[in-house]
Amino acid sequence: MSRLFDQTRKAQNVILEGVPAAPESPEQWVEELRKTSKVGQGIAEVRLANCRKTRFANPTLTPSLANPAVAQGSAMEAYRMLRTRLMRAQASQGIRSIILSSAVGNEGKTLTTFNLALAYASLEHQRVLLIDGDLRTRALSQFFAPNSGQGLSEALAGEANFADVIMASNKPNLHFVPTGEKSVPPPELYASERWREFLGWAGECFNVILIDAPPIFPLSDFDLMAAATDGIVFVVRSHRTQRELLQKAAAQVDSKKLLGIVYNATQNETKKSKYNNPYIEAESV
Amino acid sequence: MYTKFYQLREEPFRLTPDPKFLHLAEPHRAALAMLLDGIMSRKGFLVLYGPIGTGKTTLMHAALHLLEDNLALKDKLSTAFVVNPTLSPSEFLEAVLDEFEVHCPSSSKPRRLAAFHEMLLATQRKGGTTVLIVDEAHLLTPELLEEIRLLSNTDTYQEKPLQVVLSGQPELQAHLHHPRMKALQQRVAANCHLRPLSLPETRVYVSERLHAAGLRGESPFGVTALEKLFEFTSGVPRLINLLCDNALSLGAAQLKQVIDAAIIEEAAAKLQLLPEQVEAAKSLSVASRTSSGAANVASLRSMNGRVSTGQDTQADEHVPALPEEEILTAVDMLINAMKQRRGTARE
Repeated sequence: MSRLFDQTRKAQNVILEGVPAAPESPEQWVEELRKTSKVGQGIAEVRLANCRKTRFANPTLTPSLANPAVAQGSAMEAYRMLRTRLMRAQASQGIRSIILSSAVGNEGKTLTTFNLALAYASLEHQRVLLIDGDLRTRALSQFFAPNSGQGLSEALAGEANFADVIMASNKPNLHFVPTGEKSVPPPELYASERWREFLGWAGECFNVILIDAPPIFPLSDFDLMAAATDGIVFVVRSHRTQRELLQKAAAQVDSKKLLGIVYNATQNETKKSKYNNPYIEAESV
Repeated sequence: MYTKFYQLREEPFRLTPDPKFLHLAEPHRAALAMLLDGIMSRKGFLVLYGPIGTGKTTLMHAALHLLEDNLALKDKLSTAFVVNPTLSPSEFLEAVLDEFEVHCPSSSKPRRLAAFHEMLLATQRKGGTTVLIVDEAHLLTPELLEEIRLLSNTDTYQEKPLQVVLSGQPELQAHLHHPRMKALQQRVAANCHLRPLSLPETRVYVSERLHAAGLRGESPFGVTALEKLFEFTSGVPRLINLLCDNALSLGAAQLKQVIDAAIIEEAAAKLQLLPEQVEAAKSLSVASRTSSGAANVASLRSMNGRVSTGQDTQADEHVPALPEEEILTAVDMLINAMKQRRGTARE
């Protein structure tokens, strides 16, 4: 307990004393100030100090996430653009938790969420929490933390502490919450107050919380999950999502929270311009 | 005193601006960075807008504190903090000279201006800069705004010797956009807007302040309590402070380690922050212009309520689709795009 106390004192000092007293230039000074902008630095240091570890492979090397588009610089550039737009919405509305979903399955939610998390974590001053909220398919957990033991379901059932279900990754700014192994019907877990409490708790030490959610149809999970989150991003896959379903799903989403729509897997639209555009290069994340 | 009961070293929600308790939420961080950057790189005019109680004055104090602690500027900074700008132009000049500790025996305006410019140049020669901060700048008359512009009108040098920070409520923006103010408007190097906190920011704000005051472990405010707190305060830091302070007192009196929604409601009722009380106070204050403390708080709340609804509509501009029809149009557009692409693919 006293460690948390010491660390939080330190965090307070970071705010004013973390800024160097004799900067070489004003730009550097302001830059230093911006770097301290990780929320709840001291609280986070204590809470996340004893995290279990997991490794995030490069998405291009992960078999089922090996969407050929990811390898192209233009695709990653699109994720960075998405990140920038979301950050603007975050700054103007004070949003912390963002849930990503789609009308039906297989539209690219998990891929989008993961790459977006990587795009956020590549910024020095952002601490990112990626939550695998799809307690049915457990896609992210299976890739990155199989046999991870306790996770979100245990935390929501009250059987694990929040801090104990968070895993550190090989990306310093990126933390991950696996689904866990408990088999309780997801609606019961997400309806509990623990879910809101968990998001609030996580909001104290992360700049952004990205949640990979199950599809809106035919489940009731999404509504319950989204009720506690600050923003919703909708993933729509070209040539796949049916018009009627999309309309029904869009009507169901809380329009005040809807931050935007990701139009996924467009066909070769950027390919032509890629060769002419010197700014787009293949980049690894 | 509740500090002992919750094992705090000091009262975490004191109302006086104390830089130690400065909480940098996103808008505040951006504003502070803008202020420091603007002053350090001698940009001239900076303007900070924000509704009542969002932390403008605290932020100004923090910026000054940081600048004065800064080795590169140590003893090279002369600052003036004018908090009451409802003065005539000559009184204002006198106040500014007083703040900068410029002694001018003559009371003629040219002499005073000369003394002021002498001080500007002396500070600049030392490699420092002069900062004039005007708080409550929305109360400035057009004449005074013009006066301030003329004070800084020594632009024969490469970098501006006088940095002026105007801080005020959102009306200031309207004042500056008046056609008469065009000369000043064009000199404004940077604008920054403070907004009330969102729910997650409110939560971080409360827990960081508690930790700064010595709390060990988790915050006594539960999630439902924080939601109520946000509902009653609209995320305005000053009201959050008031309500948290009262809720902690009530909680300690009732020996409750965890503050729940009921305590928040009770405290809000005491402070006249409940929505129906705010409505009542609004009509009351219009009718009799009462100035009792409670009514003041309530009218602050109602004014901020108005401001924050304005904020909502402003925020909505960033949200691509609001009403259902708009989502459906967006979806329709997407579908059309998909169809077109399918068509071209077939060709």
